[in-house]
Amino acid sequence: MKKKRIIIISVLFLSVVITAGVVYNYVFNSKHRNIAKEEASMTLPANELHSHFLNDEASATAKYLDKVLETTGEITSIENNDVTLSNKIQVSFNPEGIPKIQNGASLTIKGRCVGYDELLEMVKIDQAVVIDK
Amino acid sequence: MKKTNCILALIFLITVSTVGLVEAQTKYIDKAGKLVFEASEELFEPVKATNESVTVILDVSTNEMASLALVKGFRFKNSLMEEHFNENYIESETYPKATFKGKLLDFNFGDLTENMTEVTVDGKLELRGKEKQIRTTLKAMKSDNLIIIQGSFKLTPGDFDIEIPNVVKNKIAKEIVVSLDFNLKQK
Repeated sequence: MKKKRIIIISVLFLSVVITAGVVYNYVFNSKHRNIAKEEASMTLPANELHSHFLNDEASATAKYLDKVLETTGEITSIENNDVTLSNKIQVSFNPEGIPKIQNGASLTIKGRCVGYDELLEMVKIDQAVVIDK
Repeated sequence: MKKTNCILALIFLITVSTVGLVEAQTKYIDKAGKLVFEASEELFEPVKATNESVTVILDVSTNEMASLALVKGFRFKNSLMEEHFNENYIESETYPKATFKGKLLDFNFGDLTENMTEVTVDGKLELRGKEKQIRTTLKAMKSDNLIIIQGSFKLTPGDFDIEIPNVVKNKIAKEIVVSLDFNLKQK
């Protein structure tokens, strides 16, 4: 009888410890999204993506914000970790950096849409990786 | 007659190009400015986020300054904190931008040297659909063809009607320190 009680108590104690551990892990160690590994939810040319935002920012925001997009455009500027596509999309690459690319070349990337910057009149994408075509 | 036309056309061209030149020269832009905010309390996990893709435009002829940060661009170390920040506190789906529009006071671009000097900024910060007037002192200097502006100022969640739930109240500082680091390049 006494043995049974000890078993029940230790099982209860263990489950409390495990639950606490799981909760702690969820709160403090849950991983960030890995954009590079996510499938792109939409694929569209840089011009089209930009004109959606330009014409109806609210609906474009609802449609694209925080989504993983694949887009293609012409490289119009390269600065540090940022590449501009067709003068319309500002793409920030992961810290691993930009691959070897040249102004004027066509580039396809996948990244997370961060929103529309009306000062620059550009759509911003971060955590991008290059898609080999 | 033809000659005068030619000369007139030339004068017109020169005027247009110089006007264009002057206009272009007064604007300085940073497309990847850095903005960090921190509301950490001692003994608790740091509440800190960084945005390294902030846009800043400064017109040195009028001293007007405009800045825009996309809220989704603020990255936290803790992904759950980032999620809560976006969904519960700042509601970034509804208010995707934080903007600042203002002016550098008593600022003369010609006086800027390679040593940091203090400059007062006055303007309106808009976040979460709410506006807040801010006036703060930042530091500025010139370096090659760059204008470097650095500094920090304080905000409170209440400034933007953000309510911090009681459960986490002691883990988030009452005052949020916002620090900035802009390197503006002539456009």
